Amino acid sequence: MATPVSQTTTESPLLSVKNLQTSFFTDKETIRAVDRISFDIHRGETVGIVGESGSGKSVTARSIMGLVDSPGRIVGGSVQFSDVDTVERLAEEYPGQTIDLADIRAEHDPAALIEQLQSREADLSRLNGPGMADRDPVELVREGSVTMGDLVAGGYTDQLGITDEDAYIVRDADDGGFVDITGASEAAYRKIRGRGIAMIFQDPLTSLNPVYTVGNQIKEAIRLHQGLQGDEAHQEAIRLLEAVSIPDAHRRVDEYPHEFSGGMRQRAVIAMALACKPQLLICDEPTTALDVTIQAQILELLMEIQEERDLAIMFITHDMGVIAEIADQVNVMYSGELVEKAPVESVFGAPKHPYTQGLLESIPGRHPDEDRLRTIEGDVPTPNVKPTYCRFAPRCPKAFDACDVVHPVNVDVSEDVDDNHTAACLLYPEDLPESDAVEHHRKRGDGGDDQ
Amino acid sequence: MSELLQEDDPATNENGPLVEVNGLKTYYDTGGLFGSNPVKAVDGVDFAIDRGETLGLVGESGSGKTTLGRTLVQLESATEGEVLFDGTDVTTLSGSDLKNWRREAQIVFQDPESSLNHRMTIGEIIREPLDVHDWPNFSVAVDDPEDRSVSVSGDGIRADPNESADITVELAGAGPSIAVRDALAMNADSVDVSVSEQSSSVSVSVSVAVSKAQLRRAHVRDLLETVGLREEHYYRYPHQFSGGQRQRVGIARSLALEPEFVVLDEPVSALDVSVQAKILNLLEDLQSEFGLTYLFIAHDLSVVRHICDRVAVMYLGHIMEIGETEELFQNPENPYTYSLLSAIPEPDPTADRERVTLRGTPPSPRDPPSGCPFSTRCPVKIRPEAFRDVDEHTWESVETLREILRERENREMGVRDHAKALLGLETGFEDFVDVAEEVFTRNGSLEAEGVATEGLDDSARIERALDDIDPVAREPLKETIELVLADKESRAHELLVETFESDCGEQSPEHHSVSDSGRTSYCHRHRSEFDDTAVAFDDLLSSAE
Ligand code: SF4
Ligand code: SF4
Repeated sequence: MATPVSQTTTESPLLSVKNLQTSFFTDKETIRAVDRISFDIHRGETVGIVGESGSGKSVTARSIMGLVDSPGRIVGGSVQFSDVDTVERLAEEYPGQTIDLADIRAEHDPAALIEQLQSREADLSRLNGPGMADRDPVELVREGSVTMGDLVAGGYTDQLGITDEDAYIVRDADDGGFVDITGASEAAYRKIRGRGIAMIFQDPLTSLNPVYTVGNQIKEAIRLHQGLQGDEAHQEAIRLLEAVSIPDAHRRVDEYPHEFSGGMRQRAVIAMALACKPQLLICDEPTTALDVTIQAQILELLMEIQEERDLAIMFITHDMGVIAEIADQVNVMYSGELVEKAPVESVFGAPKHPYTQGLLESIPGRHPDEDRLRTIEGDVPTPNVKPTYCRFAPRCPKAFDACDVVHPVNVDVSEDVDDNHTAACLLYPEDLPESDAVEHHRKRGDGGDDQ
Repeated sequence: MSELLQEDDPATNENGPLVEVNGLKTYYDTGGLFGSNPVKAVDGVDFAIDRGETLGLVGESGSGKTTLGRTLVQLESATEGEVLFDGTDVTTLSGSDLKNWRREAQIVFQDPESSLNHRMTIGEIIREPLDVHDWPNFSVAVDDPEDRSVSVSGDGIRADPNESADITVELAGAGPSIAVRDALAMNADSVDVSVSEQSSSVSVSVSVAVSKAQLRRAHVRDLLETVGLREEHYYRYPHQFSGGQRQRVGIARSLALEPEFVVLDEPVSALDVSVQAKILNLLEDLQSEFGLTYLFIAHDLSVVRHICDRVAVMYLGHIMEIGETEELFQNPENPYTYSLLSAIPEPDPTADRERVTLRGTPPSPRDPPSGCPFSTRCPVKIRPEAFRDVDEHTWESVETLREILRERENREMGVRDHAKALLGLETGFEDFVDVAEEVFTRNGSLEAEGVATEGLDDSARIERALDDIDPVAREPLKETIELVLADKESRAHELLVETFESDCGEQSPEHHSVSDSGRTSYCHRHRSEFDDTAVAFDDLLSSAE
């Protein structure tokens, strides 16, 4: 019997987004707001997502939270959330939609399953990006790019008749398993939100109810997620307000949201999120509406809380300064796609994608000796067709012929081995001659069905 | 233009400042609460803007920067003080004088989305001010070698000698020669002039064969091109445009009447960085093309640093520091400027600077602190002699306690509290021992410090909490807490203020000159008996290590 191959990385991610695709369907067109993006978030890590309006960064967050509103919906990919507590809670509640990986591993070998799928000419792009059709299955499994979990999450085990297609909760005695939250019902989502993943929005008032005191709202979250009542809950609420540095918390706990300043409200929302004891905190432009001195306080607070609780943070912003300050990893989005991904130092120190380069160049102060600011020509296009070309090509100063006919895929551009720096641009891999590089993208980019 | 602008000798106007602001205050009374204090949005500012200069105005929300900008273009009326524009105090203008002057001073708003009327086409939006001001007015300058008195009739009016005239009639030789200003899309053939000359006077009757409507359309088309839009955009609607394009429309509209002075109120704050760069470049181009003078209001300091010649930093209605941009950024002299600059995240993850994070939020402009406006948050506030050497934790505790008492005192008693008080219930001071613990202990509570609190009564808990405080400050702090517990919170606040206050909270600072280039800073630290700002921050940062 084949030994199951497990992930060889040091620690498995808390959240793993794979080929996530979210589209909005209107009479006129289909907007591919998030177009097959993949990234991971580990515990204790802050992953920044940057991009301009229309890049899809907020839709990414809302997709993870199950908050995509009609006419939008998730049409492909998976979001695997590997929090044991969440997996167990949901598995208990929804046994019919739970798969135990141990059972499957006992009977099947992932490489054999891939082989079967390949021979059926199944579309394998949901596994780990396009270009899987003619990869060696054993190789894929050995390098860890496909795991049994992926086969389950991608719906391939359903396809092969091994699992039930409604199942999205995967228990795994070896590493805790995961919930593919894109498969969760609204009722199940409610169990994930808050205690599993909490979200903070730009406007704190979207999360606060004006008719209840701040304290009551925090106490409600404490009651729901920590099971505390009465005075215990009250004391815990005060403790949380103190934890987010609200002075005079004893008094503030009885005040209404309108009695708080903007910065205080955002702190109260953070306290509310913390009351749920989340594993992952998604922050969507949480400081954009605040003054810089208040922004500095909130960023400092988030970093402190992260350290204390080993919290994973996904931080969305358009402000490169904020990203430089808070993020460990950075994902750059452009027109629905993830075009560059790297540790923060590499993104700022050695950006590879021409879009990232242009974005950084246009920040005032990058070239103090130049009178005029550098700009990127043109505007961000609406991603309304499946790209068979580079979406940045009309604006790219480095574009060449192939850019109009080949869709770039993310390739490794690391200068340092541990960098894990990727960019989706036909100029890379740099060590290949141009035509070979283009060929590399063409080969890996072909196939991949459109949903 | 109106006569009152002619008082100044045109020759002196070339150099001096275009805008001069003296002792300006703008207060609002719109609190709604009976007898409440006015909001002191702008509370006494003095500065000048030179011709062709870009002055930046930065500050947090509530600093009064937007109100100041709006007061300069008379969208708000000043409560006190004057705004001299070319030497004329525009706060006193009204009626047609005010309307005429408005052509000279325009404003561009932050949010291109909401500042444009969605039912109008782009062309109509840009054209609207031209219609309102009946542009062009066909001002006629008559060049008479004999310098006789001139009267103008027909379609034209006599031009203001300070302004460039739409039509210039030169009386020389055989017949009058006619010239038309470039901004008008017509040539001299369309203008018919008849002149009747007397020995001491000339009357000129002008008739123009081109309609004003036609000239306005042409002017709008020019403007579209000037701001980087295309002619066919004339008939489109704002919603068909991107944010950057809408801001271009806003700019075109503000330039329609050919102003000299433009207030740019956060013109790029709502835009993405790549779009922002294009608009900033455009603004610079327009400035040099039309010789514009800008007041650039922004909270993004990197933008300000890029585009402004000089910067004014505002806090609670006051200008804390004003001076040349680069100098001010590199070497801030005012503690507020220093703190503000320190809060900006730098787009460079390898930068490791020492940051000062300000505590709390700015106080309400309805009830600003006495003395220096920054005194409730200033990290390097001057301490009274007796406490100059206490440790940071002690000083922080004092400041935090003051802040709490100040907040509680200022807080309007809500319905809830009134009800509680009437019923004889506690209104929030009963738990002040907890507050004292939180403020005085280094770890936030005695429990966190591993002290068994069981069996300790209130005064024992307070004693114990004060152990973390420098001995010289213990007595007054203890007394303060006891006063609060005895329900004498205003007396407690007073005691705290009396004991720990310095000039910072007692006297308004002066604007000290802090550099050769004329930079000034509003802070007591510039007095010779105190350490200056840089030294004070160095001490603060090294003590935090
Ligand atoms: S693929 Fe071509 S167009 Fe796209 S970013 Fe790279 S060089 Fe530019
Ligand atoms: S006067 Fe005092 S409180 Fe005000 S800025 Fe200067 S040191 Fe700070």
